[in-house]
Amino acid sequence: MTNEVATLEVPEWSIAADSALKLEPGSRQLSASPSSASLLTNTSSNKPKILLMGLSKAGKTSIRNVIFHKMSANETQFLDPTHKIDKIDISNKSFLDFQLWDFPGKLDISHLRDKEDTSTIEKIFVEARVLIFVIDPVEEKHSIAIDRLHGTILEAYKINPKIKFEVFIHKSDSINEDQKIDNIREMTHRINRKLMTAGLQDRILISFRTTSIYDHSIFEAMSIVCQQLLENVLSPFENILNAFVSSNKMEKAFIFDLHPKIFIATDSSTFDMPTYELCCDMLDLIADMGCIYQEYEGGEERGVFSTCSVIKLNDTLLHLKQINRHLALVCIQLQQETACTQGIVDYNFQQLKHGIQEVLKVANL
Amino acid sequence: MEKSLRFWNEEKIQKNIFNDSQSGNMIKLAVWTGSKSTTEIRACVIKRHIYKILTIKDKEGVSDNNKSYQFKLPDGEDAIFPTQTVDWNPEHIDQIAVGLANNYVLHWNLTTAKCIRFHKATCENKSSGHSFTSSRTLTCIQWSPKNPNLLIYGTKDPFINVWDVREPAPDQTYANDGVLDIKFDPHDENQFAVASENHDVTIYDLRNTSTEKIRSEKKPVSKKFKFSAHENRTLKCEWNPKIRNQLATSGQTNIKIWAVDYSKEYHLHNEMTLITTRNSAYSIKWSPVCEYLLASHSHSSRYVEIWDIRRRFKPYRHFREDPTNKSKLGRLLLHWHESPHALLTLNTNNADLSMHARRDAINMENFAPSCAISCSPYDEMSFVTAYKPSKRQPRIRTKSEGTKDNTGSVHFPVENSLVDRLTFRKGGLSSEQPSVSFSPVTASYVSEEYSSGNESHEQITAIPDTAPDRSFIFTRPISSKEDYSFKFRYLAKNYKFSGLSLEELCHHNAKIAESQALLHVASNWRLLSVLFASEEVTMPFYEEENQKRNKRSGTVYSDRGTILTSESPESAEQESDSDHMEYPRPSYVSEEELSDEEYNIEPPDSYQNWDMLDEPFTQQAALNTESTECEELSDRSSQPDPDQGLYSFDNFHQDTMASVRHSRTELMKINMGALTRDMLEDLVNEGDVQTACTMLLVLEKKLTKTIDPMSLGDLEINWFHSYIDLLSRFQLWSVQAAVVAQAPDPIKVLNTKNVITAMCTKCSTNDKVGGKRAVLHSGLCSRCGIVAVCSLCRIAVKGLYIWCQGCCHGGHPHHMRQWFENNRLCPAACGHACQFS
Repeated sequence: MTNEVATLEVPEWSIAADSALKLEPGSRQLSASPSSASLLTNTSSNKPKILLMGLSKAGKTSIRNVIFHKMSANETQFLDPTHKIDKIDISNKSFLDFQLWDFPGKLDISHLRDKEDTSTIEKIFVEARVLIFVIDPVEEKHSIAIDRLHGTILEAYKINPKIKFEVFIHKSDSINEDQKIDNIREMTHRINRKLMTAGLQDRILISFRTTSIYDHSIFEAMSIVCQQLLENVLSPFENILNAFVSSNKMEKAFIFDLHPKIFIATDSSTFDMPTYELCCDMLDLIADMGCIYQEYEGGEERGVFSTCSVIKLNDTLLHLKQINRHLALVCIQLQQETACTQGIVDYNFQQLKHGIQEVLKVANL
Repeated sequence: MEKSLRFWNEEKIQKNIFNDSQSGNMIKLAVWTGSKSTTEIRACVIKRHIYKILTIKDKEGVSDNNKSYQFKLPDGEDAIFPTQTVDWNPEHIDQIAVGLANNYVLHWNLTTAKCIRFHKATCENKSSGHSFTSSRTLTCIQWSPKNPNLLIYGTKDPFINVWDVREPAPDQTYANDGVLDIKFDPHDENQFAVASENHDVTIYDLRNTSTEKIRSEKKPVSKKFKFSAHENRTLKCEWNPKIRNQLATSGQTNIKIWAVDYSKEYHLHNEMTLITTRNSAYSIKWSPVCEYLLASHSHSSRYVEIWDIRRRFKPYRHFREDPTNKSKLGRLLLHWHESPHALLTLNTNNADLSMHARRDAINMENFAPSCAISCSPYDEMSFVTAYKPSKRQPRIRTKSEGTKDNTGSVHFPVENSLVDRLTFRKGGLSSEQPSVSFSPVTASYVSEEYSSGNESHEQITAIPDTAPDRSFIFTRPISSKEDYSFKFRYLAKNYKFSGLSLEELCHHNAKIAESQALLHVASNWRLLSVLFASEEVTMPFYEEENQKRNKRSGTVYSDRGTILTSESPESAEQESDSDHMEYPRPSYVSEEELSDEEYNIEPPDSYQNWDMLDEPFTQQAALNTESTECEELSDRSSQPDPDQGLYSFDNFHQDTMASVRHSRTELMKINMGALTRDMLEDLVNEGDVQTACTMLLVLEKKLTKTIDPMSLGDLEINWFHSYIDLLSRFQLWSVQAAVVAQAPDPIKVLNTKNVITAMCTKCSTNDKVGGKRAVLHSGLCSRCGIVAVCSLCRIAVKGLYIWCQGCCHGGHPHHMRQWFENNRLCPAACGHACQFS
């Protein structure tokens, strides 16, 4: 198969979306029919995987349930320990398309290696894109967790050198700020020392994040993880949003996936937690309202997704606009006398929607 | 510092650069930092792809020639993409580097308005199975401060590129997480710091890249130094231009100042200062003139704060945008110019360029509530706050509530800002509030309050109603761990008043008091030793006689201090051991532990030593003795005010120790008894009955023999009574018994009341009808002569004997304790339900 270079041209809208979505589609993409993402999802073995590992009681299943099953954080206290590998496929409801493998805390990869169960290990790590390792900072089992992480990383790297490692220092609601940074430092230090002895410290990049299911930090962390599955659309999305924000005098814009409440793209300016939380809360509110009152049938058939709302808070306008079945744009606009009028925002949004659909068409998603 | 922070013209300059206000946070600013001598500032303000060159001069203000230019791509096309980031070449005034939103990096000539070179920031990404060039947003760009051809830029893609602009493409690439900020170290052109989307700050060295290039092989170049800076993202980093290796980083809620030390690889404690900002500081700048000043801006707060990093709790200065003008909302870009020293801000939303003068800065100190905090030598902390009664009253209330917690330990809810301003303006305070003064919360009272669980022992001592601002003084001990009850116990257990020479006793007790931070008590002890202990040195003959007498009455000597066997009172009054007695002798050990031989061997040597030592002292004394000094001493000692006398006296004490010793005769002329009495009374007035009584015990002999007017009056007896009472409240029975045994006659009477006679087990059980009980004397029954045996082990009890007063049975304390842990009735099986406590 010769490499076809599909360059995205966004007409008239004149923003950076053209900036080079150079796709060199592999055979997998081409074999799938262009419009249906669903065809791809059926071949479940080929799906990208996110692995969720960690010691028992670290909070893996809680994370899974809170993010993908909308469980409230308080209910997670009563979860039973996981005994077998839970594979959940989230593609049917979501824009994202991956499998999440929730591992039991007892499963230690290096034990499998000791038993020479290589096929299982390969099955686990092949096609895995991200490995999330959850550590409970309150437990006094740091060294065990670090050892486990180290063993897992080595095995994973052996099978699949492209896998990305994320360490969630979880339950950060129970520790204060100083302890958080201390924890991160301690973990980084120890795991780097271990990797250094293995000679891998420069090849493996591990990202540490502090998370908690009681606030939005777990959603933010999971968003960043999921964005790594979307490398090919991330930069065009970001450029589109950059242009959108600058032309509408917005403060910040996110593209959210509606079902797992995580954002898949944002503009390039930095943001802080309050901003993100505000957008999340708005999304929650509208989604809940929609669940009660919205009639989906007609809309979906016609291909019209028109959930749209504007909330005014003091000086701030919050916009929520649905892009397609799974995606919605949430943005914050500061209200000023010079602010863009609603009409311009609406027009620009139509352009954005168009651009995003173009990107998705090219990316076969 | 005030002088160095002179802004160039005391007027604020403000000018709108672009007339239309539809800029949408897309304004960028670059300032030429190369000029060192001229008094003008050159700035380049960019709105999307249009830029203007401004010159700002004193008096003339901002001039921009009304010309605007446009960035163009090299093929002549207009670059219509918004500018993401820009930096002005520090060496060449006509060159800037611009990063556009379509990821073009332009090397732009300002004079010809043409692009010299350009490069597209992309990276090939093959990690996900299919290869494509990704191009996430450019976030930062910077010229090397020393090499005018070296440009570095970072993108949200995890790569940093170093581009020598003479080359067609970047030649060095580093892998990093999404880059948010890159800054070259101004002191070392080869290294730069990178703030990334995760919590890390990484410092790279350009020279380290020789081995691998990321394009040729997928292996990241080893980084030089990396540390976790913030809990979440690290937004900005900034090197201090004045201090080498000092780096400021800003995170979501705070700014941290780091002393970067490369010697340790992962060292965890190089954090110097933490400044807590209320919002994320998106922009930080060091002052190029004053190394302590750091400006920060967070765009949700809409003001600029200038921090003095030495005083990190309050902003040093504060620039506030006009809050009424809504169009001013927008992020501010900061630039701190060196010469002239000025802070430039550019509002990204409406392109207002402001040149801030010091005059419109708000001095945050003026807004701080005036309060003060100070420690007294009494180990108390006072907190004075002046407040407007209407507003601040609730705050005071919460403070007083917050000071008490469950355990009784004291926590001062001292706000950080208070500690920061720990200058107790004594002069100013006393001039305003002459009536404010320390109220000594005395040790014993406080300890009583603690023991009884009193909730409110906060003493509000001064509330002058006439004052415009009310002042409160909360006086309370600072010590949280060792509160006064603990101190009292410790002192009671460790004070010695017998067994050693007077001087040694005094020194020992002084040390004990010092260990509890009771400095004034310690100095009083030293004073006592100066006043009285000299006798022993200067009167060797008296000592010798005394020792000889002791030797003759050896048994009496060794029995001194044993309480349970109630010895004759004379033994307690014996003069203490010689100074050379090596073994510290605890007062309450029973006599078996010390053998008589050791005592008898020791003294002869020590006499000789005494004579030897005495000789040089007397010579020195002849030189040093001056009556003036002695008078001075007596003056000082007559006012044992710990506030004033404390520290100065210690030095004085050491300087004049020798002379004082030998001028005893002069001192004796002064009425020492009265002095001592004053001192003791003062101590008691402070509430320290403990020390006063212990001093009396130590001085007992001296007082009765050498000082006539010092006799125990009713007052002193009262002291003793209260001290003994306190001791019993703290359940320090043995100390109490020792004090009573050692105390002067009127007190010792107390002891007789407390004598509980031990009775012979055998005789008293046999002879119950007669009512007479056989009394045990030193373990032997006065009637039958049988030794008291332990009811459990049936062995004669040597040492401590514990018995039931109901049935007279008893035995070894540890046996009894064992027995009564599990049993209720008497171990001798007499059927009596003994009460063991």
